[in-house]
Amino acid sequence: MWTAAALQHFSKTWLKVSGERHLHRSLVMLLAMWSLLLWQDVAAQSNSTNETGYQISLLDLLDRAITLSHYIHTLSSDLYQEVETLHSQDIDFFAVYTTQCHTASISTPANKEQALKIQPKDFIILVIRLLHSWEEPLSHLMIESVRLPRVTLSFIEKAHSVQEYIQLLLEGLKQITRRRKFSRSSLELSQICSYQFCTSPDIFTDTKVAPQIRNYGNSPVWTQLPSLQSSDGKESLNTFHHLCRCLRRDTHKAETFLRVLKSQVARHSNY
Amino acid sequence: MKENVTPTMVFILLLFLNIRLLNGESPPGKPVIFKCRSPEKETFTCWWKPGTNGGLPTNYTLTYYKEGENIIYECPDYNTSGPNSCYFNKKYTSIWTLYVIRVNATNNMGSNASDPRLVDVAYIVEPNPPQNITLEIKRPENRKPYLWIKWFPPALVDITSGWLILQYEVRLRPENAAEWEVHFSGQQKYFKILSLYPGQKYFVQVRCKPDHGFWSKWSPETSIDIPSDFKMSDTTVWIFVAILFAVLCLIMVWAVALKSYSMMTCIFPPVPGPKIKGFDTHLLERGKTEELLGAFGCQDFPPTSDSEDLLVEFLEVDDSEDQQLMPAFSKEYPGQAVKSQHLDLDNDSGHGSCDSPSFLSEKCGGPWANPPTFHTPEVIKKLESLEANITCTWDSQAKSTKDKILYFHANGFRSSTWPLPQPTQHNPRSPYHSIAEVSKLAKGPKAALDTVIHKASKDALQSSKTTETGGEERAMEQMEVVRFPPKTEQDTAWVLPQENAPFISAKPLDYVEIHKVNRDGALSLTPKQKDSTEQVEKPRAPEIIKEYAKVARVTENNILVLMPDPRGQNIALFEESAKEALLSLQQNQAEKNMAYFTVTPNNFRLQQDGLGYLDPASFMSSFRG
Repeated sequence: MWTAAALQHFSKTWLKVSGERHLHRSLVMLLAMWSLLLWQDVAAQSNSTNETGYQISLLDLLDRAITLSHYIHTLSSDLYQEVETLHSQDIDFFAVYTTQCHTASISTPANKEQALKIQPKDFIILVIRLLHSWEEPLSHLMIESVRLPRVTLSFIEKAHSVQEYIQLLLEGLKQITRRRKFSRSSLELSQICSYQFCTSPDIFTDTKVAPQIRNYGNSPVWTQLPSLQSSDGKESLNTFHHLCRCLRRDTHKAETFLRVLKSQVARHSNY
Repeated sequence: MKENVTPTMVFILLLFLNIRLLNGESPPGKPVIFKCRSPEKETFTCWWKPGTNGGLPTNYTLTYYKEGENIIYECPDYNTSGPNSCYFNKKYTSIWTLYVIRVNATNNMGSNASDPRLVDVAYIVEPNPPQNITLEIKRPENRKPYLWIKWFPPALVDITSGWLILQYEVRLRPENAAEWEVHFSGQQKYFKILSLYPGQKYFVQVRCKPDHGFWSKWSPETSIDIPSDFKMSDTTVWIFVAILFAVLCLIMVWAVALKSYSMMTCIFPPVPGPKIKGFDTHLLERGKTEELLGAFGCQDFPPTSDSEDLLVEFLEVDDSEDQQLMPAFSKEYPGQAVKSQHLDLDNDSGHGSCDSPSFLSEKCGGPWANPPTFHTPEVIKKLESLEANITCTWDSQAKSTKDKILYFHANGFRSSTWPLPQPTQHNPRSPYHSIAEVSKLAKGPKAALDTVIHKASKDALQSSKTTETGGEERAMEQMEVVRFPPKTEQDTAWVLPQENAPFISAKPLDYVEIHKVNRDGALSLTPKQKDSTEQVEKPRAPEIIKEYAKVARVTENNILVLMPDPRGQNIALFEESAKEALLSLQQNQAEKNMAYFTVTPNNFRLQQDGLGYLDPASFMSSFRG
């Protein structure tokens, strides 16, 4: 379990030295690449039904996912802070804060009691859906961020990092779903069919037609692209602000859900 | 009428208001919501600061609405968190939902509302401080004692379910210190402190922080008295060791300083430079070549015209070949226009330019001096059979102006090889001249041959080292350089007369090559002229020579006559010295492979002027030996 210790050390370091973004980034890049390699390795080895040979333990995989999600949320918070401090005077309060996020259609637990009722395998699906729904908006966010007034290079870099790490995290979560414990999750994942997430052929090796569809809402549709790209600076800025706010929240949700998931898995070791 | 009424109304109203104001009543001031916090991400509280109350009892109400809902709610609990607060319990708290909260202050005069405050509970988490801090001095056996700090998370936070993750920080200070020593503890709920001052009282505090949230307040101070026997033994031991080390270093430095020279010579023994006994090196510094060369026993140096005849007579150095010297040399010997190419380098024999079996001849001599006089194949065979190890390479280096100094390089090497420096390896620079003949050197005192052991012998040495030979020793010792001033008038068989001028201009080195060594180990210098391929006597047993000797001439006995004396009186001596040189050159064929030209100064009779000449006597003895 040295990986867990290493990850813990990583997280300690990050939280302690909150100002050293570059250190964080380099550490997490390292971790991310390492995780990716390991996840790929695990994918190569593991069969979703038969687990033979040496495998990374599920808790290790979850630890890595948590670490990655923690860093993603830190970056998203930075993005939001930057947008807010630069443009708080220019935005339309109502447009930004009262409009719902596009991921609102994914119903997520609103407090601890609700969260503790969710099964781990459903949690995984939830997190995957949440993150997956951000892939498209993030790519546009990064592209359009150059149009932001007074945008800094670090903003663009962080946006790019967030996009990369979310993809990495999704990879890892897919690996987790291949474990026996989550075998049902992969079935339900087949219901999440949009964008590039479902198009990779290797993901769902044992997908069948879904017997049930859990009530996690429809796949979120992101409709803000026109307003993001609009030539009206104010509208574009409002959309930007709104996106950053929603991103921060959703990444925080993902991190919290993964932590709860991990403790549930750890507690029910025979789960 | 109306116009009359309106101002009156206004006046009355103002009067009324003023009366009220004069009573000190006014609408309330604007309240400000200054803080909203959640201790465990399950409930939260907001506090506001009231404005002026306007002199009337003011009622404060808090209203809010949630993101995505159009219903306005009122605060469910005004009391739990104290005055001017609103407590939202679990039922009313939704995480990841934006609350828009306002406070209204109302009194009889009016009301005032605060600015709306946006709250998302997920981002306002500030836990309570950790609790139940325990301090304990632990003394494990055979290890240092330490202070063990342990605590528990605050009561309300749910860590076990993973809902909130806390990280801790510890700080402590001695009683009389002002600065706190802070340690980050991560997610662990204990901490070890190792470095403490004994006999003091320490205060300890702990605080915590959720992964994305605010630090809690510091816990109340907990104190502990450190017992006086809390040893800092490590420190004293290390101090002692450090002092001892420093003292030792000082002593060593002092000793080194005292004996720096001898130590340096011990560690880095000085490379023996070419020394000619009796040679005053200071002459070099003064730069008086005449004296210098006089010290060599070369008369009439630079050679005068009449000596040229002698030179020519005895040694013909082929210009054309000489000019090939450098290039030939630079081809590293195999390319030399040596007649016999069969002198291949044996890889393991450290062949030098004029290497082994052929006594310099082919490689060394060929291009330069006397190709025609080389009987290289025979010589080679002979030499090979002999396994003579003499390599006499005569390197002549032109001195400053037109000096031509032949450097006689004698190098003992393996039995089968001439210990010439391996052409491939090191030193293409040193052209070797083959001494066509060391025949009649004893034309006169002026005939002096300098044989200088070429540096290439060093190469031979190196090459010998590199070659693998099973059990043979390679003694490359001798780099005997015997200088011969290129006196033309001398009847010395040495190469490099002025004919080599062009060559010399290219590189002022004239070499004399030993043509061959015959069965007796006689050194045969190959002069240009055809008349002699005299054999020189065998070289002596190997000895390390670090002296220069001038070869005055080569006698008919193929004795190399060295001329240490500047006055040139020692032709005979040269002969002897030549003999000796040859002897020394030619090694015990049968026995070892170390043959080298050794000129032991002490044996030389001619050791006179302290210029380091070879003492022929030594040669003599060696020859006879």
